[in-house]
Amino acid sequence: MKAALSKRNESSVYWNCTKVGIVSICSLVFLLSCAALSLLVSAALGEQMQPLGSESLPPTQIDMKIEVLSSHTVHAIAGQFIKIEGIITKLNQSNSSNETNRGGIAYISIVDVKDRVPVDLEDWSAEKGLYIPSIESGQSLPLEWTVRLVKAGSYTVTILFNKDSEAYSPPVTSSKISLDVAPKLNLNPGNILPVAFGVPAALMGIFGSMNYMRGRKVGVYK
Amino acid sequence: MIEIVAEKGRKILPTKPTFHVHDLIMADQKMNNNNSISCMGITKTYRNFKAVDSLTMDVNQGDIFGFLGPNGAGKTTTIRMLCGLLSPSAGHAMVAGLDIIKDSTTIRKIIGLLPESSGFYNWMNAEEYLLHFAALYKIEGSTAMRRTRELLESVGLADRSSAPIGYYSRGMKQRLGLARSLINEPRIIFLDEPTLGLDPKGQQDIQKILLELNHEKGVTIFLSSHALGDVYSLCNRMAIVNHGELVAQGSIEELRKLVGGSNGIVVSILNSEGLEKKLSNLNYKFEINAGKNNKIIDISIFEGISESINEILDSIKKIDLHIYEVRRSEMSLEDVFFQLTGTKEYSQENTIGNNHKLEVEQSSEYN
Amino acid sequence: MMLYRHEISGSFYSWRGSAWIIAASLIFSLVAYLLLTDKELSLLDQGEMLFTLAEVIIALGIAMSAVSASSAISSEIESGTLESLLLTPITHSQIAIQKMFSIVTTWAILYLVSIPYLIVVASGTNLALSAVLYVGLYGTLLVIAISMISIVISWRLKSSKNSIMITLMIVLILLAPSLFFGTSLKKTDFGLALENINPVSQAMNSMDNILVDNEQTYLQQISHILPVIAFTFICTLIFVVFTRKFEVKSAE
Repeated sequence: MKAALSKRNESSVYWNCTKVGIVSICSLVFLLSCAALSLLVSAALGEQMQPLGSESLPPTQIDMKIEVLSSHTVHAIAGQFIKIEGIITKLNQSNSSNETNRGGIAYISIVDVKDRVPVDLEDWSAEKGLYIPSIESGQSLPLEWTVRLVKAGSYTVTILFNKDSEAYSPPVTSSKISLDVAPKLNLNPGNILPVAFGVPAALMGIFGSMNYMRGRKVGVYK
Repeated sequence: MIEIVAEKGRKILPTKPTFHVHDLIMADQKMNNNNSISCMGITKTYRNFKAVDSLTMDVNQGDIFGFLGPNGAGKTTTIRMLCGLLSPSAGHAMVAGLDIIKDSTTIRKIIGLLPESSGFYNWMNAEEYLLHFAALYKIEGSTAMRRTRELLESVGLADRSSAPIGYYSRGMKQRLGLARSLINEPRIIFLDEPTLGLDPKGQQDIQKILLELNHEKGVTIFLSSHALGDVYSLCNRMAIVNHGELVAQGSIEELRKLVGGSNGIVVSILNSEGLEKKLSNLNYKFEINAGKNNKIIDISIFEGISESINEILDSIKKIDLHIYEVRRSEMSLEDVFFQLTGTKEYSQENTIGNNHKLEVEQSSEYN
Repeated sequence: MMLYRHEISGSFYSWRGSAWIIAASLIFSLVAYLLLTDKELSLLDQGEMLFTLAEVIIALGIAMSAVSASSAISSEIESGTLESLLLTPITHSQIAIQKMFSIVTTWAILYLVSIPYLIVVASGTNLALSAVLYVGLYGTLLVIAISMISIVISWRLKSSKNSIMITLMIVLILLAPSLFFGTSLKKTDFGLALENINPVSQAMNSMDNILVDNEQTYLQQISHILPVIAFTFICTLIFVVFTRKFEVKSAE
């Protein structure tokens, strides 16, 4: 019996192991199938969500870079003029063409860190944007802005380049420049004080003397 | 012929005369070619109001001419027209032979005016003020200075000439105004209330100045004043206006004659019984005035006094009246003025001794 | 010109004229100091600062001449001094002209006082000479015109209170487009028409072109200068016609 039982136990063990194996293999196959299916489905859905007429996003190409030549930390006083200098370089590309040599607009962006608002460049800089018609591979072009520091505060300045050829690609940005503008304290700008005090004082002196002499003449003052 | 207008309690008066302007003007017979000022029917109308109505009068060269009238009679308007400050609405006038409209700039060089109220530049002193006007009259510097000093001396402001005019009293300003009106040595000077605000000494000084100007320099003086005493003592001829119209013009004597009064005598008699009956026998035109105690009666006789006073007194004695006092009398300018302008009512209240009724019975048939 | 000298003396000995000049100099000092030292304003373009100061100078000159001229005759009537003046050989027109010259002289002194301020505010630019010349040109023309109109009003109304009131209203109407109209309103058809006929607007627009836009030559500004000259000419005609005759009212 014991032999029969043992044979029976041995066969059940063997059947159980076989079951487990089969289940495991089936599970694995199922999981792999699900993964493949989900990949297929997402690929299919991605195609459907794209706008009409648009192309699929090309892969991001970092073919330009902007380097800041000015100091990354600038301390100045309100009213002063500073120069923001940078250099834009188009990296070498094997398949360069006229299309890819197209330029764009380089501009600066100033953000008031304290007030947390971008600054309207109307009063700060006469040149808002510099247009670069074309830039070839490997070419570097200098960028320069003269900025008048209109208001005291803490700012960050960034140089950006908006490429003509790529409609959806983000602008190329430089690293940030930290700008601290101290308030301007000048009690006598343009030497106004001598005039502002001197002219009224001189007039009061002249007219006062005239009237005093007149008063002496007519006997009002003795 | 006795003319008595009397009843008990009423003063005896001649009846109020009525005058025709033409006749009055003819009463002044001195229409000669030496008229300093000549008005021919000048009129000034403001909208519906006639301030001066067809005024015709003449002022002879060398006259001190009095121009009288009640308030609102048109005196100041007339003076302003003659000085060229106003244009007449009708008529014309000549000043020193020059037309007041066409030759107004020339007239202003030869006349002076002291208005009734005149403003001054308070920041100036008297000397500067007169020199300023001398310059406006284009008087040369040294002449202007000399004349200024003389005028200030004569009007009594020499010691206050450096003080601002703003510190002056009203009387001092009046004197300064007179000096200003004389700075250009005018031939004719118009004065509107020149003694207003002046103390008696000041009034006397003004009168003296005017007389000197007239007698020594022959300046014609046209004087408008309510101070009838000044007019009486200064003026040789005068005109009286009322409601813009000329009422009378002439010398004081002529005006007295017009109103029936002239130089006369006043005989004070003792009151007695039957006085009225006795007076009815008196052959003169007279007025009666009772004294304070009614014992003395004043009989004023103005007509017929060309006869000698002795004859008048004899007539009074003949009717058995006792003479207490005799004195000369003349109708005052005030009376003439009131008579001519009709601005004063004659009643018992206005008589001398008005609370004392005559105890003499008077006949009503002579009212 | 005796009356002219008398008017100038009276104006300064009685503190009337002196007060105007001293007050004007204090205002110029305040404006110039604020323009140059205030944190925001000091960073304005210097042309804008100069333009603001020029506007203040011209506006003050116009206001001063309007107030002085509108009481020139009426104050003499009210104080009783005009009658004595009319009795002198001087003509009525001469009285009006000499009074007008005395007011323009006060403006000339005010203008001379403003020159140092213009020079200091314009320092570092090439605008100083243009600012001084054009402020003088436009200010003088407008002051002459406003003075003449004010004297005529004073002559006619014979009341200082009424004359000053009416004259100030006229000045306010002339200054309104520059002071009160916004940029958008000025660009409407009505706003443009008003600016074209308004001599003060023409002067201010011209100053703007000169000092802010740097158009400094006369040829460039001729279209603005001519209307101001025309306005002055019209005021002169009115002045000549209405100041020939004067009558003093009767006191009775």
